[in-house]
Amino acid sequence: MNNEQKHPENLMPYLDGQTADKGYRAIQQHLDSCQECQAEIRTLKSLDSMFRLPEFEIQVPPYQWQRIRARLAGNAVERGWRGWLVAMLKPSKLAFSMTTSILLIFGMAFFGWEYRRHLAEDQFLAIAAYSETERQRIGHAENPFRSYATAPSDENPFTRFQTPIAGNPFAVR
Amino acid sequence: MKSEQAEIILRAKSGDLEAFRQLHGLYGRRILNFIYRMVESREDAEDLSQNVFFIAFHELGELQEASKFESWLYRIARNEVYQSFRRKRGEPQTQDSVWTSRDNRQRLPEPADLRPTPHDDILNQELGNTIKGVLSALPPKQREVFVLAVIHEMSYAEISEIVGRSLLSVKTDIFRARSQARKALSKYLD
Repeated sequence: MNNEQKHPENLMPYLDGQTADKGYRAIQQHLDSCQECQAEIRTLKSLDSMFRLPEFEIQVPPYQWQRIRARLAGNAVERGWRGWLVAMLKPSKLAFSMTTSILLIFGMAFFGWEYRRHLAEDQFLAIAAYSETERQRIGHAENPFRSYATAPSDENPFTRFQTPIAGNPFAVR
Repeated sequence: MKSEQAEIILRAKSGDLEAFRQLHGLYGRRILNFIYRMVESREDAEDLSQNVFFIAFHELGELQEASKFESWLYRIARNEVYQSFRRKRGEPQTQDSVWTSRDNRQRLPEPADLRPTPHDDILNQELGNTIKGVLSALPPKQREVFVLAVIHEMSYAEISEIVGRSLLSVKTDIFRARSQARKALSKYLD
């Protein structure tokens, strides 16, 4: 079988430059000797050229970029911290962020004040408890008999405070 | 991709609006025409093309390789086109739906938008309308690969990446679409 008898199944990939080197060379060799395939290639080329006519293309309207830019300007154009800052300074976002900040400050102030109030209360109670304990301790110290009076004992509570004076068994200091 | 273009993309990624304007200048016409061939309405194409660049600017930070920018941009354009199809409730009239009908088998379907562009006045109106009709008659999946391969002269690998289909499927659809176009335009080719 010579080259002329063996027509390539599909010449389109060859036409689109999508045939591998080996296949490309084989088709080229075939085309050199095959009038029928040459005509086929010519037909396909003229078909493609019809669709590629620049007259059928439309041009980008001159205002298109301005429109895109305007749309981009309507949104966050900048990226990074600057973009974030620009976005946050927009009236709608600014109002929101200011309201949020004010609420946050008030909230923090309220909870801080509450915390301090609780702390002061706790301190007052601690001082009061301490004072009571001290008062009781001092009271006991000032009245040494108090504990003995309350604490039942078989021992004579007065014994330890009685210092016998020699010669006078009734003398009590 | 040229290093200059890669640099422009990097600058645009960092939020440089001037760099992004340059990208729009480089790819705006291709994207607009791709969309135009898909939706067949100049106004819709202009609106969708605007959306594409708006989305691209905001999502440019997610693009990993600058060399993939073009196919990434086409993917956004394709998504916008299909979203517009969905918004219009259903896909545009396809070849199958028109040509399989016995009465219309030999009739070329009318394009969706036959309003002439300024260039149409210069050219043969009939050929222009026929070409629009041929594209309009193709199912969207065939039309997109046909437009990318034939009009935008992209490689099959790039097309496969844009449309998210296998190379074989892309190749098959290009073959089918071209054969269909050839059949419809046979009187101009003889």
